[in-house]
Amino acid sequence: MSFEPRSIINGKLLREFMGKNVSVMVKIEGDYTGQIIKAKTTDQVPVRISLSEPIGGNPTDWVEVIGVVSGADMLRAKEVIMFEESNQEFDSESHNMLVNIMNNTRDFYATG
Amino acid sequence: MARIATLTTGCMESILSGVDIDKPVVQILGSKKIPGPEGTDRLRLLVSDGKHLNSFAMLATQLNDLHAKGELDENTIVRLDRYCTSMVNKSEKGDRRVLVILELTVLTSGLQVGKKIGTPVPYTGEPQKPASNVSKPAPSAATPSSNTSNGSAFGSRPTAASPYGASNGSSFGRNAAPSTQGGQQLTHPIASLSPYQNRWVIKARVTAKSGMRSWSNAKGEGKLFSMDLMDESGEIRATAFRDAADKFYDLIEVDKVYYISKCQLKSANKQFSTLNNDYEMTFTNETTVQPCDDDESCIPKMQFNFVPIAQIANIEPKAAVDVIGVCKETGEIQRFTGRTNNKEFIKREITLVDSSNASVALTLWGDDAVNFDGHVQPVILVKGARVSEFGGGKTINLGVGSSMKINPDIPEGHKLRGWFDNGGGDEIQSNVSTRSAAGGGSFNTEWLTFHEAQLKNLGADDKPDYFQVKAVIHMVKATNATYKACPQPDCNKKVIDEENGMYRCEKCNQSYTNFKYRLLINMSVADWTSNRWVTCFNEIGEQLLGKSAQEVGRDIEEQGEAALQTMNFKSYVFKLRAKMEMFGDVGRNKMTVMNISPVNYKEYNRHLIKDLQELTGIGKV
Ligand SMILES: [Zn+2]
Repeated sequence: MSFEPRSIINGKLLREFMGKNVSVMVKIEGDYTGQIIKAKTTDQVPVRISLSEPIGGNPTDWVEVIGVVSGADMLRAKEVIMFEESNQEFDSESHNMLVNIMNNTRDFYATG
Repeated sequence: MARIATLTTGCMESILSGVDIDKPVVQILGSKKIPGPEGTDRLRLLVSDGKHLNSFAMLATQLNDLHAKGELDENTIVRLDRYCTSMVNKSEKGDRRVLVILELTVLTSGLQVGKKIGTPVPYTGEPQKPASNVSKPAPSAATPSSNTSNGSAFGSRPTAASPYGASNGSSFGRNAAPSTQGGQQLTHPIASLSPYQNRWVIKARVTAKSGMRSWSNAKGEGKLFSMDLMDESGEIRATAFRDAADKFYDLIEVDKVYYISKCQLKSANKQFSTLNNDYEMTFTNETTVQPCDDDESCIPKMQFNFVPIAQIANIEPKAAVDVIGVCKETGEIQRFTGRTNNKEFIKREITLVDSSNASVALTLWGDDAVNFDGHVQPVILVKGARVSEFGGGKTINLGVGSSMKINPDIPEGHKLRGWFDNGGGDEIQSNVSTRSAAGGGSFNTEWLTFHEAQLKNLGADDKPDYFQVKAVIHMVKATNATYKACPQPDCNKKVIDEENGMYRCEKCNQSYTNFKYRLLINMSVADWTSNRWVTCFNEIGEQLLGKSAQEVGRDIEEQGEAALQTMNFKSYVFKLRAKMEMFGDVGRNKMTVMNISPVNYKEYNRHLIKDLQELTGIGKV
């Protein structure tokens, strides 16, 4: 699989990235065995994620969904990244803040 | 079958009439638990000498676990190695002498004895007869509720119109000046005092004494001082107001034993006192206080629970601690005016050091501040010092309920003196009172990168700077990571290997056959901006390696450099001290690790986001 550039966003930014490649951190809510799973973003927006194949194993609460925005509350997942169990809980608040800063700063990665 | 110990027949009569019997042997025939506050149950024993029974034998609380272990069961024969007697008056029943057992030895277990020895009868001979004709205070006037209304110890005014003083005044005269009988003072345990009776004399040690304070409120103004009294049975706070305060202030000395009688008792105001007593007392105009110079064996010495100064960094503000240290520096007297009441305050700050190689600021107030003479660098003991926190640094205060002793005659004091006079105070590594700075524990220091620390020129002079950085260890110098130190627990001086199996400590001026390893690790740590060589002392090294210095020393002997490999490529939050140190004529900026902690990502994120918000101007959305 070749690398496709993507933006790291949150729930509120979904509309602005319609049809684009994105990465979204979500917390799975309820059943994760179906074709479509329900989840919440770091800014508490409920989203539905359609999967091309079911999530294997026993995912952690928080997963990173890499895919394409297909609706205001809809993501078509290409890949779901699970994390190792850790005793440090995911700092969703800080992540959300980081997303806001990244998407509101011109030339965020500019150096020099 | 083992021989059964012989009882000291007839000893009870002598003991209860005040005669001192050396190590009497008695049999325990029963016990009863008297519930006390917060697990301080006391045990009342029924004991027999084969002739007489005594049902008022109290077991000192430190012996309670003997009873809990079943060693003081029924029929057990014990030898009373140390005991004393106290007078208790039980309202209309009159005075009764109580036997308090302080130390004992079990001679024959109850199981082996298996029966009551002889046919003992209750001892009835009262050592003091006139007690029974004393009239009881009118119950209506003596209900506890009538005493609880006055909440503040500072607002109450002692008056002669006390309901207790009225009914007991005349009969008390007999005991006002403590009399002796059979070489024993007739005294009452503090635990037995209550507002319901006023005929008592206590023999108590002063464990704390406040300075003279003045008060002013709607009811008037005046001055007062208070003291904490303690005997074998318990403790109580006593306060003297106005004339009584003047009269007794100089007489009362901390750690001395006094006979005290004729005070007014009332419910304790727990807001001002942490003592374990439901009552407190007020000195009245009739109060008598007499120093006691005779045998004080029954009155416990003051107990201290000394906290090493380095550990004060980890103690919560407002807690009370016992501290002993040498006064290394004495500050000037400072005068300032209170914000709310225009009252002038006087304080003085002194610096204490101890063998934990840390220092702390102690604040003295009022007369204690004015009269303090620190030029001889005395040993200072503070019982119940109050901990306060300013900007992450901890200081201690001679506050309400604290007491100070200068050059106390106790082993800890002499030990510190010896330590200090032999250069002990020269190696102070941390000041727990430094704001936003060193001392270990969870103090808050500024987050910086190594690059920022360099831009800020930290550690450019001999006053240390402190900061914290998230960094990874990436290079450890194994050479000289350990050194051989003096095996004495309080001495960490590097020893000289005499090459003959002996190690010489110049500080102790002694040679030893052994030594202990201490760590002094130099390593390079890096953040995303640059790297620095830093030094870690023993405790930090042990923390990083998860092993004792001794184990590390042995590992290095066996494995060389490999023994330190586990330290590499681990990230921590380092709290560092940067300071200019002279090596010969050359000044070098030296960085020392004061504290390490695992990276708390939430906290670190907060710091990074705060920086990002400042850089970008983007607030929390
Ligand atoms: Zn030594």
